[in-house]
Amino acid sequence: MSICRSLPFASTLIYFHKVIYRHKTILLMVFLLGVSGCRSTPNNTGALSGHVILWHSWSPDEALVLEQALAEFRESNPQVTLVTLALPADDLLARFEQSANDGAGPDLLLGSTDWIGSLAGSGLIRPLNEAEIDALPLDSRATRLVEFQNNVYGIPLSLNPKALYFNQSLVDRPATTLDELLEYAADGQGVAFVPRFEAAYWGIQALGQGLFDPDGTLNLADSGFIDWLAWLKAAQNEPGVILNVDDQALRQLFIEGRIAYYIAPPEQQAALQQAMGEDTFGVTRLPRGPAGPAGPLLPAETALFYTFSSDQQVRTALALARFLANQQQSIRFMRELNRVPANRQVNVDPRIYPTVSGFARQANTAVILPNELDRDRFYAAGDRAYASALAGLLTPEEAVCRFGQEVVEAGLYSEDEIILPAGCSLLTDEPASN
Amino acid sequence: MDENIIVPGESLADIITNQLNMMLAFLDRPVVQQQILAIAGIILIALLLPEVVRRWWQQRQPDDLPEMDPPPRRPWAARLHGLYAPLTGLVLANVVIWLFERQGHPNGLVESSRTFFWLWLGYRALLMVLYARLGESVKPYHRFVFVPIFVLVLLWLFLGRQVGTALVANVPILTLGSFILTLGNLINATVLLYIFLIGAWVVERVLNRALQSRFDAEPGKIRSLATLVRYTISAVGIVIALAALGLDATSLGLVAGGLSVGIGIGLQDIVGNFVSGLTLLFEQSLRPGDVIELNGRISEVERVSLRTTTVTTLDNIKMIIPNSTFTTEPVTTLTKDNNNLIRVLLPLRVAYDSDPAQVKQIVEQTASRHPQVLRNPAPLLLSRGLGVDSSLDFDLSVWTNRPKLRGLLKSELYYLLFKALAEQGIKIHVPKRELSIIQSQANPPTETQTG
Repeated sequence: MSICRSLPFASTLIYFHKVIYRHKTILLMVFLLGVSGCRSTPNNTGALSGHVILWHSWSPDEALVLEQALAEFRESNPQVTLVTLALPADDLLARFEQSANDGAGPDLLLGSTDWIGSLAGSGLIRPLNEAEIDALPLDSRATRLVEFQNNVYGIPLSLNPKALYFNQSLVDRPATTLDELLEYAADGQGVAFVPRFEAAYWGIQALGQGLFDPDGTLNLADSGFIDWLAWLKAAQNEPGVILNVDDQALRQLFIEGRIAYYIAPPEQQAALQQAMGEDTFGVTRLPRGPAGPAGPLLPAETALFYTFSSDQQVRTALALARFLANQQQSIRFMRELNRVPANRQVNVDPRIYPTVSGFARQANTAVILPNELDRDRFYAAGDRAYASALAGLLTPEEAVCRFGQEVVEAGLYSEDEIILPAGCSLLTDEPASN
Repeated sequence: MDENIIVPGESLADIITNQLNMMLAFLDRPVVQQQILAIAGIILIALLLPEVVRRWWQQRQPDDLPEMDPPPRRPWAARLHGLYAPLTGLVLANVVIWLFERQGHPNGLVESSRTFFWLWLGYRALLMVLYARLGESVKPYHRFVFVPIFVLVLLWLFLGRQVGTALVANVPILTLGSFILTLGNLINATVLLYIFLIGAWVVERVLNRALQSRFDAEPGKIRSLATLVRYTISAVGIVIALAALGLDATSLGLVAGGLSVGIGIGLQDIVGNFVSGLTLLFEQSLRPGDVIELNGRISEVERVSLRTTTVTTLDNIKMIIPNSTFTTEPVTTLTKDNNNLIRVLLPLRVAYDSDPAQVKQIVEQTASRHPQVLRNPAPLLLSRGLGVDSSLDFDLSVWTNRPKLRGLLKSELYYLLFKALAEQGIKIHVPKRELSIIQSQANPPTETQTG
C-alpha cells in the first residue's frame, strides 16, 4: 500500500518538531495506528492460516461441545487462530449489524436463516460463488434455506422446526391427526400452543394447500389458511385445548404434567429435560389433517459469511463452516446436544435418537419461506389475522382477506403475485364476506 | 456493555488473548486497514495543518512593517488555537466518511473518529471558556477532573464498540466465600471512588471560595466545614465503591472483621490519629489559622486533615503532626475565641533616679506608635516596684492581634523604647556592683553596692 511505504518518510516531519513534541502522545498513537493498518495481507495460497472470528449464541454447555469440535479443526489447521465469542441470542444480530459497519464483524456467524434477507439485503453477508457452492454438500432443501435472490449465503447446520412434544407418562400413543388431538384433549390429554402466525403456521397445509405455489405465488384461495383459522376458532372452545400467547406459561403447564401435548421447537429440549428429567417426554410429528401432513415453518441455524473478511479469512471460514456441517460434527451435535442435523447424510435413527428423529421427520414436511420476504411484516400481518379470527372480530374468511390486503399494501407481494380468496378484492377497504 | 456468555473454564488470560486475537483478525482486513490509515492521516493532518498555515501566514507578512505592539488579546482568543486541531479533524472526518460512503466501503471506525473529534472540540472549547473566565485557577481542575473524565469517555466509547469487552469485565479475579470480584466490578469501583474523591475535593475548594467571598465568617471555620463536607462525600464514595465491588452486607462484615484484626494489630496509631482528627474537626478545638504553641514553638495551623495536622512555624517550616498529639498533650492556643488577641509583656528596668511619670509617658507613647500594637486596649506601663538592684522595674503590657509575630513585635518595641528613652536621657538600668576597699587597721575592707 503506497501510504504504508510512505510512512518511513515521516521523519521529514522534524520540521514540525514543536508540534510533534507538544502532541507526542497522540502522534505515537497515530504512528502505532498507521503501523497496525499496514499489516501485510497474507498470501492466498497454501495451507489455511491467519485469524478467524466465529460468533454464536450457543449456551455455555453447548459452547463446550462446539469448542471440542473447534479443537479438532485447530488440530488439522495449526496455523489458524480461531477466536470464538458467545453472545446472547437476542443480542447477536444487533451486535453483528453494529460491528459489521466498522469492518469488525465475525468471519463466520452462526445465526438463523431468518436473518439472511435483511443481512444480504444490506450487503453485510457474502454470497458464495459457484466454485464454493460446488464444494459444499448442499441439497435442494439446504439451498432453499440459504438462498436469497438466486445467491447462496451460507451453510445450514441444524434445523429447528416445531413439533409435538408429548408427556410419556400421560400419553400411550400420541395423536396423529387433528381430530385425534381434539378427541384426546377432551379425554384429559390437554394440548397447548401459541396461536400466532409463526408458531401455528403448521396447520395450514394440513387443511389445504400451503400458502405458496411452486412458482412462489402467495395463494390464499387454495391454501388451507381459512379452514385452519376456522379449526382454531372452534378448537379454542374445546375442553383440554389451551391457546395462549404466553409460551412460558404453556411450557410450565407441560412440565407440571397438566397438559399432555405441547408444540415447540427443538431449542426447548434442554429446558424441558432439566425440569422434567430424561425420557419423560417424547417428540413426534404434528398431527396431520385431511389434506396432508402438518407443515410448520422451517428455520435453521446457518453458518453465514461476513462480506468484509480478507480473502484468507474467507477461505478459512468456508473450510470451518464445511467442517461444522460435515457428517461427523453433525453427529456430534446431534448426540451431545440433540440438534437436528441439516446434513442429510446423517442417519437419524429413531431407536437411538428418538426426540431428534421426531424433529427430523417433521422437518421433511416443513415449509421454507423465501428469504426475499420481509418476515417481520409478513408475520405481523399474519398475527393480526390469527388474533382477529380467534377473538371473533372477523370471520376466518375476512381475516385471511384482510391478511392478503395488508400483504399487498405493505408491498410484500404485488397484485400479480397473490391470489386472494373468493369474494375478496384489493379494491375495497372493507373485506367482502362470503 | 453487553452481557456476554462466558464459556465455562475460560480464564481471564484466555479471554484477553481472545480479544487481542480478535483485534489482529480485524487488522487483517483491508476495510479495517483503510479506515485505520484514514484516521491516522486525519489526526496527523489535524495536528500539523494549523501549524503549516500559521507558518505560511507568518512568511507572507512583509518584513519591513514598522514594529508595533500587537493589540491586546482577549483571554479566550489566546486559547483559540486549541480548537484548530479538532475542528480540522472534524472537517476531514466528514470528508472521508462521505468518500467512503460513495465508494460503498464500511466507515464505522471513521464515524467513531468523528465522535472523538466532536468530543475533543467540546473539551477544548470548555477549557477555553473556563481558562478565560477563571484564569490559571482552573489548572488543577483541568488536570484532575477534566483530563480523567475525557479519557474515561474515550475509553468508554472505544470499549463500547469492541464486542466482547464485557467478557473481560465479567471474569472473576478473586473469590472470597460468596463474594466474587470481577474485573468489571473492580474497574467500576475504582472509577466511582475516583469520581467521589475528586468530587469531594472540588466541593471543598468551591465551598471554601464561595463561603469566604459571600459570608463574613471566620476563614478557619469555613475551612473546617469544607473539610468536613469533603470527608463526608469521600465516605459516601467509599461505601458506594464497596457496593460496586459487589460486596453485600455479609461480605462487608467479613471485610470489616478482617480490618478490625488489622486495626488491632498494626493500625491502632493510624486509627487513633483518625479518631483524633474527627474530634478536632467536630469540636472545632483546632482550626486552620489558629496560632498555637507546641513544645515551645509558635506555629500557625495550616490544615487539619483526618490523620495529621499541618502547621507552619515562624521559620516557615511546615510540620506534619499526628492528630493524637493534640488530644493527648497540652497545646497552647494563642488565638482562641476568634479574636486572635494576645497580650505581650515586655519587662523594663530604668535607672533609679528616673522620673516614673516621664518613663510611663514615653514608653506608652512609643509603644502605641507601633502599627501592630492595638490602641484599644492601649499600651500600659505597669510598675513592678522598686528593684532590689536599685532600679525601677516595669512591665510594658501591649495587645496585638498578630500572635504569630509576637517575638518580632517584642524585638521591635525594645528597639524603639531604647531609642526613645535614650533621647530623653533616661538610662536603662544596668546592675553594677561597686567594691570599696578601705585601708584601716581597725576596720577591715567593706563591700558597698550602688544602683
